[in-house]
Amino acid sequence: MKFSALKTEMMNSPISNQATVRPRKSIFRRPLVTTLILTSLVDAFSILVIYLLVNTGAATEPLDSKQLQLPFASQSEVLQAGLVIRIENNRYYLNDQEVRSTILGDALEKANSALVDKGDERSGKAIIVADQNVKFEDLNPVITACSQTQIKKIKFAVYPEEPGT
Amino acid sequence: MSRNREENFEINLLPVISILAVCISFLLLTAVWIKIGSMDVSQAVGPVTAEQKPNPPSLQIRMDQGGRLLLSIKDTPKMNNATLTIDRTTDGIDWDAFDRAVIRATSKVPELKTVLIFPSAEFRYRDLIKMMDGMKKKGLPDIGIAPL
Repeated sequence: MKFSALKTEMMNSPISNQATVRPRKSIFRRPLVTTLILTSLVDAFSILVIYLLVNTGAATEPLDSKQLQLPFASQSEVLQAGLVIRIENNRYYLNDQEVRSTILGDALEKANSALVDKGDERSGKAIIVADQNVKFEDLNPVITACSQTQIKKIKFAVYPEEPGT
Repeated sequence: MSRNREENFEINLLPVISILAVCISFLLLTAVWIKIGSMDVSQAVGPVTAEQKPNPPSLQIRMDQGGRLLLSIKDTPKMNNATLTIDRTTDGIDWDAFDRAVIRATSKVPELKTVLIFPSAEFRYRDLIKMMDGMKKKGLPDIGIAPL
């Protein structure tokens, strides 16, 4: 196989050809097949992975409920982390666990004090997730519970709406 | 050192590309693309401090049993306790009249920054958000909601 026909078509690496220590490039062997430079492809893939990891985090996971139609607001702010209270079919869920409205204040206080002890940034903040057709009498237990448990920041989850639409 | 040893070598990038491609596919499939924002409200909690400061001027919005809105400006000598009533239309709240009333209030009392909403039990959540949204648009950032 010393004088194989295939050898004339062998792939010459562009890195090897440009090496200063022992270049592979030969005057008599011209590269007939070129290699794809995959480094830029790896770079692009890495950037895509990092972008997807950052932008599709699990922060909104407890808010995701297909049965709820959130209201729209044009002056909405970026949603930050907090204790998530969801109202769905007249039932109250604190961090995805169902809580009766009568003990909502106690459950919220317990959850908030646990976050305060840990020094968690979510402490003192509540995110209310409710359907846009809910009446205020259903929201009232949550707002009362927040007032009782020293939660000053109440955030209503909304769909951002472009101004003028 | 062997003379035949390769000084130049290439890393095989194909497995790296395969892994990254699998990662991208997985992330694209599991991504949540719905953006959710928040409408923030700062509630006053806890006991009143010993140092009694004068209350800043505030716009108070109440709802009566007939679904009418009652707007009044408190704690300002310019329009103290002046109340404006906005009647309900067949479609619900007359948002145009409400907007005009708020614009009039902010033009008469430019230092007005605080709004306190007293919703009725029947008040819809979407109307509450729309009201707060309108307030923020008109430069009234400090909004509070009073429980029933």
